[in-house]
Amino acid sequence: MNFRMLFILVAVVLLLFSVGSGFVFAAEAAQLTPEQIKRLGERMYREGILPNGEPMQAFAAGEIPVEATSFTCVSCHLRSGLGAIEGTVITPPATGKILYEERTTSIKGSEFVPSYHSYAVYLPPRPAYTDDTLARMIASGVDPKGRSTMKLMPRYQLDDENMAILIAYLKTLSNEFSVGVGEDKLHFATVIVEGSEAAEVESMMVPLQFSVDRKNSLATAAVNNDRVARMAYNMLGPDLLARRFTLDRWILRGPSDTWRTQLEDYYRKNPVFALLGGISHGDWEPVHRFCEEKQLPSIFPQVDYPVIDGHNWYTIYLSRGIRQEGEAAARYLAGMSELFKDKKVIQISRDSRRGQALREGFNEIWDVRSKTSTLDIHLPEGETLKAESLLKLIKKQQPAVVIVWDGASALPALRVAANAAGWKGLLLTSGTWLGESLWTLPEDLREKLYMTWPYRLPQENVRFDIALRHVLGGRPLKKFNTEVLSKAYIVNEVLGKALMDMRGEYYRDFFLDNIDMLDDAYFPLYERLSFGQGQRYASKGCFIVQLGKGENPQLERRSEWVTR
Amino acid sequence: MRRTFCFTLILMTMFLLLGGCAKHMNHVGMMNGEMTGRKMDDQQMAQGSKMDHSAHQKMMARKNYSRSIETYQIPDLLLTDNQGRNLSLVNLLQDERPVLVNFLYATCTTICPLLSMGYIDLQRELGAQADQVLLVSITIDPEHDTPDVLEKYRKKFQGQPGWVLLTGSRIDIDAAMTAFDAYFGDKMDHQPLNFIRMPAQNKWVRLNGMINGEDFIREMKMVGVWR
Repeated sequence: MNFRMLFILVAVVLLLFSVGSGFVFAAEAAQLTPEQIKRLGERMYREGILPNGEPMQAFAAGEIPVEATSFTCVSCHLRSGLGAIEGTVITPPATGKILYEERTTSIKGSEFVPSYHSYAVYLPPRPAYTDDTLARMIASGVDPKGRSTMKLMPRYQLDDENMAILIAYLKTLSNEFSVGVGEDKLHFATVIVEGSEAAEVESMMVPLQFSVDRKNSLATAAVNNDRVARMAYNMLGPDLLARRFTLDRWILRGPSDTWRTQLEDYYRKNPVFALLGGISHGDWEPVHRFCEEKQLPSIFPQVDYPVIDGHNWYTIYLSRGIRQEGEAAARYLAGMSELFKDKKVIQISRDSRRGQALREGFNEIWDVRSKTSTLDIHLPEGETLKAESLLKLIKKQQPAVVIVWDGASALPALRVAANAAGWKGLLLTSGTWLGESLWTLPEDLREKLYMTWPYRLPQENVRFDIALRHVLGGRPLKKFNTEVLSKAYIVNEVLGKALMDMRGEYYRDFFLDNIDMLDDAYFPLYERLSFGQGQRYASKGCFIVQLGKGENPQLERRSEWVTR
Repeated sequence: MRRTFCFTLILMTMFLLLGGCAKHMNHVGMMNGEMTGRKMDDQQMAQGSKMDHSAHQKMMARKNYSRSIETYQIPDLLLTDNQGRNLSLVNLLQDERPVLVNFLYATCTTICPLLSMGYIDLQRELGAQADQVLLVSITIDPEHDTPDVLEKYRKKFQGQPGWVLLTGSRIDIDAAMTAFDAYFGDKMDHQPLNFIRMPAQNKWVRLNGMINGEDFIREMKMVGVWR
């Protein structure tokens, strides 16, 4: 055999191997059950962990050896696999459904939608991937057109079996619309805990229902009026334009340990795409857990006690709830704790869920940030804070700060403390817990009392009233609970923005991915909401304020929105 | 008349309440290194360097980022690093080592991982000398990126000593971004910028694009801060 023949033989063997490897992938993937592909592939995609438990190995920036646990697929292509857009960079989709189709400079069926076009035109055209070319891209960073992606994407070192699992997983990723997406409808629900005040429920429902009715009116109008149809087509695309929304009310009754069954029942009868808003001043955890389990997005439930969980994914809260006020107080005081020297901080908290949330929030931050010790005193339910006891405590301890986590019943005692002879410390409490009493604080208390305030200052928030009135259909704003109304208004805004960015791809994970990619938002009530991948508490701020002087006093800020 | 009124009402509600146009409409894209960027000032750059002309030409032919020489007045800000230490930005950036600066945030899914890869690639290229270059990253999402979050971010990228990540108040962070002409209004609109301090007072090389370790070393050599 001469060299030429040997060369041809080797070439033929390599060609056969190359052509056949696709079948090898398919065969290997076929040996796994869909559950195994989901479990093992998902772990590779999201955590960078191989089926054998070892970290995937990769090369970043072309040649830097790294563990893929730090450079996971999900960190750029996101949970939905449909990629990301930030600034001037687009991370393209990594789902089988899209990868195995040719990419052109437009999205089929939506060529004339401006936003779709602006997105598609920046993704370089390429032929459809095959199992082989996709494996080559993942392993060597070369796309089907021979372009290198090494500077932008790590190369992953996977054997054939693991590559087959990952590719099989990509083929399942965002390949069928999520539950709750009908042929021409998108189904939503809101959860209301029985016993919530009727006025609050109405203040939440009016904006939500307005949003649904408005969308459905638009779908109808677009059918009957060409000009509306053209305008809506340009803004929403052909699918969202025609799709109608439904909004169900899921009312939870009885003790919270029975909610799970009720939720299952509602969900079975009417599986929804996402939960919008929701209201509870008490428990919420069963709803939160249900959403995590069903992978059901829940957008901005109005709850006092959100579940604080670093692994929470499917519920996006407006903030960390009442606890956030305690955390802000601790940050604010920690920033000046060097001035306290050896003086104590006294924390008196009501033995209620609200008092406990504030105390825990405060302690969590304070224990890490400050060396000053605190004296924790619990105030039993039903017992009023007595002025004499507080005065005695101050006289004995001469504390730098007295924090009182209690409602308006503590005000007389706080007033006495504010006037304690020779004491130069400061008082701090929750502004929201004082309710309407906040606005009538005695003048001699105002100077010494600092308060947490987790919203934009009221005098600066009035400019948003005009926006709120849009959803009221002529009804007067003062008849509604503006706090609840504003929070529901925010749901509408975020829902609209996220859906418009989804390009008709109705996957729950993509819905959340799009919320994560929203710009900082300046809506009614909160000074600022901000988002980011996995950020699940949108408002990070809380002012420390004092009440100004005079008959019509305003809140005066004593801190930034976010105190560090 | 009534029909016209209804039509106007529908259009108004669409505009007012669907929250404006989709974000994608405003994007200028970058894929596979095709960057949009600031005007280059390479002639000025070459004049200030010891690099020979042919090498410069060669480099210009292959680079996929833009460059300019800028004058920046660094504000006197107190920021907090990933170890929780309060540091003066002015003092930090006057470090005797070569100083590089970029802006990123921990939950970014596109630009920032690539910027960070550039830093760790540089540290890898420098090897034992990695701590001889001061790499500074300033978060543009200070509300989320606490010192703890930034330290976890550094560990995730296997950053070595010499990489300092800074956070601070929103006002101070905005001031830092503005000082480097890197304020884009929102973190979602940021650009892949790196800055190299030049020997001349307040002079910085501004690099817009994806930079790897080799690029950084070449750029540092060009301005005479690395041999």
